[in-house]
Amino acid sequence: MAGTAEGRAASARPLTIELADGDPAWGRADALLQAGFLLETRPGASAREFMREAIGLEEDYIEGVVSTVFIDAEPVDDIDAATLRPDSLIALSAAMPGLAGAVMRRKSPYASFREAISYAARAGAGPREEAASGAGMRAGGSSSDARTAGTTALVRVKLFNSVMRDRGRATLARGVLAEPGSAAGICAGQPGAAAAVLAAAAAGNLLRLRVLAAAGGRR
Amino acid sequence: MSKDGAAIEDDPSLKGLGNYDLIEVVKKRWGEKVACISIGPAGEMRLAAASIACTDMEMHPTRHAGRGGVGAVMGSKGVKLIVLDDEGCKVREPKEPEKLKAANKVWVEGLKKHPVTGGGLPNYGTNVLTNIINESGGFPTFNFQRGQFEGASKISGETCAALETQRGGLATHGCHRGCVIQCSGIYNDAKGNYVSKQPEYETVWAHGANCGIDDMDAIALLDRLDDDIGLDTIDMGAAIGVAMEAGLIKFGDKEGAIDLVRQVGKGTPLGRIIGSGAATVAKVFGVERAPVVKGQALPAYDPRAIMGIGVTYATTPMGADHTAGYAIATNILKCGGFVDPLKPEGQIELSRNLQIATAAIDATGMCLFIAFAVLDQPETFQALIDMINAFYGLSLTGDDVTALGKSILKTERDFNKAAGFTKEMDRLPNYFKREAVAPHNVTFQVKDEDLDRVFNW
Repeated sequence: MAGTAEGRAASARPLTIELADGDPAWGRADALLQAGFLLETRPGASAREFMREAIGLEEDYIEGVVSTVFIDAEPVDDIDAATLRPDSLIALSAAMPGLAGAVMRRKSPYASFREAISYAARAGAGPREEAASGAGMRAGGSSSDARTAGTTALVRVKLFNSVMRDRGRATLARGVLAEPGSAAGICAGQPGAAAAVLAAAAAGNLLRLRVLAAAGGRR
Repeated sequence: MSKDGAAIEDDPSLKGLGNYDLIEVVKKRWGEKVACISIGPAGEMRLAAASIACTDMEMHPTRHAGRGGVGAVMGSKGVKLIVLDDEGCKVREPKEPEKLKAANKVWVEGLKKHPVTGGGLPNYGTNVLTNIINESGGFPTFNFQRGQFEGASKISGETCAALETQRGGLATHGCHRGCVIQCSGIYNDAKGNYVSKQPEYETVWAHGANCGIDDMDAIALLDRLDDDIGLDTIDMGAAIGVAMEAGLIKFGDKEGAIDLVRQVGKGTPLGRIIGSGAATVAKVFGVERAPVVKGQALPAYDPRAIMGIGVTYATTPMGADHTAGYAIATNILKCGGFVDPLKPEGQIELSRNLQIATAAIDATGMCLFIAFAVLDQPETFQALIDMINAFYGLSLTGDDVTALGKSILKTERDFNKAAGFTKEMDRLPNYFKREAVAPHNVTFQVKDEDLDRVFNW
């Protein structure tokens, strides 16, 4: 799994690239969406608020499609009560097959099958408390420090299956943060991108990245 | 077998053929409009992980009755191949055609509108589960030593579907004629040549995360070899995982894993051990961590993280069967009473109800993946009952279906008892109680006396 983003600065200016429909780099973008990227959010934002504000999902979509949510590997039932802290990892998925898929759904009638790992069962304990009391992380460029400002925190995000397909490109177009190594494949062949990726990697920074569909492409 | 009856022929020339070569022989002799049921060398050798292959729409031997060593049973009878030729056969007539037509319309609409049967499954196949089960920490990795695999996104259903499309295969495809869900696919190599059908989630897990392999091409080749030799992919992945833990080869060694499966096909001494499944491999090489119940390998969900599934693994008469307690609409069936979604029922009661409902649905011959639409949409469940009633002129109710499920489970348990099974075999291996699995660091905590209550109804 990807390591912590704690204490890492991000490149000040976003690297914006445009990809044509059918460009193989979209496949690498999908890999990034699944493996995880970073977004800024308010510390303490609920999962629902995060989906609305940071990813831009509408209420209907959240209720109708995003039926499976994990925070730090714990399946979430109540997306209003579940909150994000610095370095949280939130994963979003549509309804999934199999008994296990049904078990992992929000408010599943089979939730008792995974009660040992459910978000509610562990709320307020363990690693999340440590994360809350521990150091925050930097975002928004070298001059911005979320720990000092107390207004933003970085969380890792994974988008799976239908959510990735439906909203992945829009999320990338809004802009994300990523480890330079994870983003390198998407940027390959883009003018000026290699230098930006290398510079971020050399500085140990996160890369601020926007990926746009070239004119005529699917959004 | 044809409209004229059945004929049994002795044909030593078929001995030792892999399922793919066997089907080529069939094509030359009976043409390409027949269907086949066959075993590969594993069944002939009566290995415990041997499967029975059925041909798909492309006449590839890719659809297997994989679990329980059924290929060895066919091999023990000396039956290599059954050819089914339906030319000139009449189509069965429903008792009430108009009712069947109406119910079927509701049924198909229900499957198509549901996000799982109309979205997740056709778009990405069963392997769509890899990412989320990995995310839950219940994705057995390195022979059940961890619950998450770093390379999961490289072998996910999303990644596989993109690869299939890019290489000219298919990411959405039916495994049989008339399928509404279309959760299968065609997996080609980098040059666009057919390798196998889209590997299923259990296969991708067993040969992938469980063995530390994150290469989709290697997994697809292992799937092809399993189909050709006639092996259960779950038990083979589990057996290789145990062999890796024993130090035979290293976790992540894809060439080594491929070689082990090839050795099964050749019938080498080591191959016969591997082909006998995870339980045998663990005994031979002195590995305690053998993920088996009743001698059968556990599927792709760690029972410590998802404990309720562990209850079903332990108690199902089949042994470690993930399909024994599927997400069937227990509420609609009212098996064991109504389950309040806001107040989750106990794992024992829920496992019991799911096993009852699943046994009944299995008996209809329906694909188990209908379960998701049936789970969420009462009208779709009703359409299923209506179709059965219209076809056979019956008046089945939910209670009848429940009674059928109980009757099936009782028969299966009676069989096991007569075969010498005891309640002590309705257990997970002890190490699941002792060794915590990351990232949640949980053990299997369901008590034995509670497991013994599952079939008390």
